[in-house]
Amino acid sequence: MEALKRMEEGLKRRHELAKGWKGKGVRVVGWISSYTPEEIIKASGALPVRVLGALGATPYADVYLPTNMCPYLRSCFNLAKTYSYLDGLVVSNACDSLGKMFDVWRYHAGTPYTWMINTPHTNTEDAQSFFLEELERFKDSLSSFLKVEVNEDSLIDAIRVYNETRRLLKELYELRRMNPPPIYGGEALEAVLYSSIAPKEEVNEVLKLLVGGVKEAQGRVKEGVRILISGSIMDSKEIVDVVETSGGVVVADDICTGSRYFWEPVEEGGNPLKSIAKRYLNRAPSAFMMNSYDRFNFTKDMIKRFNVDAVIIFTLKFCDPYLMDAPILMEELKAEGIPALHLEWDETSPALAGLKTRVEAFIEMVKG
Amino acid sequence: MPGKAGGRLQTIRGFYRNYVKKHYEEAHRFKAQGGRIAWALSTTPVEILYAFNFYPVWPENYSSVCAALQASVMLAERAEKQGFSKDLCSYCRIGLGSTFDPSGAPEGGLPKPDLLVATSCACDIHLKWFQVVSRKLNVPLLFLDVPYNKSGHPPQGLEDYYVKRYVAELERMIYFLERFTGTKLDQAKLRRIIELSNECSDLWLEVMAYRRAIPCPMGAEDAFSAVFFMLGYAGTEEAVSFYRKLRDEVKWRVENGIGVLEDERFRLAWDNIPLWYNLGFFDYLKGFGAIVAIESFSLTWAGSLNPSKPLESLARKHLANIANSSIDYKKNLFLRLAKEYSLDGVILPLNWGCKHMSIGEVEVKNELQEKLGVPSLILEVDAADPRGFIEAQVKSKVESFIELMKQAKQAKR
Repeated sequence: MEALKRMEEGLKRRHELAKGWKGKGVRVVGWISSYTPEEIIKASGALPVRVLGALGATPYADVYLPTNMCPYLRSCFNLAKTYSYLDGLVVSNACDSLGKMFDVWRYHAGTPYTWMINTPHTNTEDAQSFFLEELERFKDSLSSFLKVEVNEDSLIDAIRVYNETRRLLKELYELRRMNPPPIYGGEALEAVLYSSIAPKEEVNEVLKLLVGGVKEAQGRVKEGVRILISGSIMDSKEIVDVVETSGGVVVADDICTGSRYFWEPVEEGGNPLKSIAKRYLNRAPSAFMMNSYDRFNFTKDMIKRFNVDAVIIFTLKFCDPYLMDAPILMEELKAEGIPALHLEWDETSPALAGLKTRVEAFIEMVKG
Repeated sequence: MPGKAGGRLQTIRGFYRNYVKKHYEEAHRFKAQGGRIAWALSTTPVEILYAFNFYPVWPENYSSVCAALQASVMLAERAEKQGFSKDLCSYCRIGLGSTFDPSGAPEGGLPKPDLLVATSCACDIHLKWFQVVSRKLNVPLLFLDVPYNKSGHPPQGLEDYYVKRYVAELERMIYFLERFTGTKLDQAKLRRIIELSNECSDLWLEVMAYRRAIPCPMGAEDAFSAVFFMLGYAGTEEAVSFYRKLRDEVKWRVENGIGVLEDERFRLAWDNIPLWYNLGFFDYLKGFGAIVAIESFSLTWAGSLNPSKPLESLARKHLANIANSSIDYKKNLFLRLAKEYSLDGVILPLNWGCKHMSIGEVEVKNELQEKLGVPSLILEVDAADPRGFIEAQVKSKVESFIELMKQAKQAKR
């Protein structure tokens, strides 16, 4: 399918493409954590790109960062030199380690503009108004750095484009309710990742092609044990491939580079910044949020919606919030009679063969 | 020049038996008599709990006690068996293990809580830890959401809306406690507790200031015990009277030129928490004539409060906590300490389970070296889980570090 190829290519060549846009005079602003309201960056006229790591060793990060921390963030920082084209980096404090890693990035990466948005751990009314103040300040600071005006109209336009991306991704996901699904989990992950690194207008065009193509493509995916993957971040599809070459087919997820990136739209028609604040605090939460049960409920809804047979929780090594949640989520799933497996993995030394052995044994067990 | 050696402080002798153990026993008694126990994690504004007659107990302190009594591995394993990763905070694993199964745990485990209180100030783990306890023991959890001090501001430099946000959380806490206990907050009582807490903090900071003296009158081995009150029991008469005694002894030592060591050759600062299972490590350092004159940990819990603005000042104090602040804050702190305490070196333990406090140690090390020529030693250890501690390896690193400090000192002459 051509759309899939464009996405795969886009991901592979993402630095080149971003530099291409820069050559055309577009400013490029990187972001880390799906709690970063990209709409504001988009409204400033800049291109928001999600900072992604890469499987493998991290020699540059080893100089500045300790080994006992999130491998994803280590991997992102390891590419700080590759990301030297960024005009800015924006993060949300969506975990302790990101908060501190942001400082290390500021000290060494040489990115001209850096900003952190303080995201509350809850969505109470008071938290909303604090978050709104944070967004106002970010908006003002970014506008003054870029010397552009971000106003209601540009925010409304950005929201519209972003909601279209969300709608299309959801449409793509919904097709995965079929058995077998018309698209591999690895491909769906790449669709989401691609959506977070390319201009949304282009993304929407490719997604439309993809949804259309997938609808017509029957029988390209072999039937298998229907798996939901749960966790924080996956910035490449190798780990999904492990599942899909072991008798499983990934039909749904509960991860920040998957459904949690796009599931809920921003409300249109109201005060745009307020609506953005509301959307981000009320979205399907990551483990950073105060009430883990909100996330577990989202996971359970996805399990029903996508007719999931079994769950595999992939926790990044040293990722405290998810490591703390995992035993409880395992209990919750057990109580519902859903088979589940918890695996820790480390993208900086992936050891995929060992993971595959455990996944195969699990899928065999589920098949019964 | 050799001075008079005072060794460890008189006031601290028998500290565990006389104060810590006594507190755990008292908490059990208080519970048995129908009093309310609150489990609190560090950076919880304990003054408010006192105002509602709770007896606070601190699972993190308990974990350090378990480690010092060599019970931490047994307890941590009980949590690991239930799926909690070995890479998680050791305090948390020990705490969960003793909650799941307190048999054989020091002091018979902690008295069962009526309420759990945690904040997002120190780390993400706090919330998740108590969420698990809340589920297992079926006890309500009160969680305070604290904005991250991303600019590393001191208490008086914080953004107003940050302070406002935390004050609102404290108001929510009071609202909750009023309903939970069925009593209104006694403002006069809170004011009195805040005054005591301040007195405590002032005395403690006075002690810390005396440690700038050469020779240093008090080492880390005593400070890590004595900080117990500052950490969890500020706001009590007992704490004030203890710190007054401590201050008097330290002051006397300084006035009479008495240090811990007879021949003080190296003055150190210690970041993070100590190796609770190996407190003899400080004696090992002393064997090289090295004294730990100050700890970032000791300074973390002090901070002056304003009795006429109790909530605002509590908010300011906790927002500017070292764990809730950017690396800038830590860099500036150690640069200041290096000058104030005439430091020859800094030990920066990378506490294995405590990820975010490990990030930035390289920055502190480089900053101290570049700006002041003060060397640092980064040690990969865990504070409460001895399983990864390889003594020979750590000692060989310390020996090289002592050599490095010697050279740096000579170069400065």
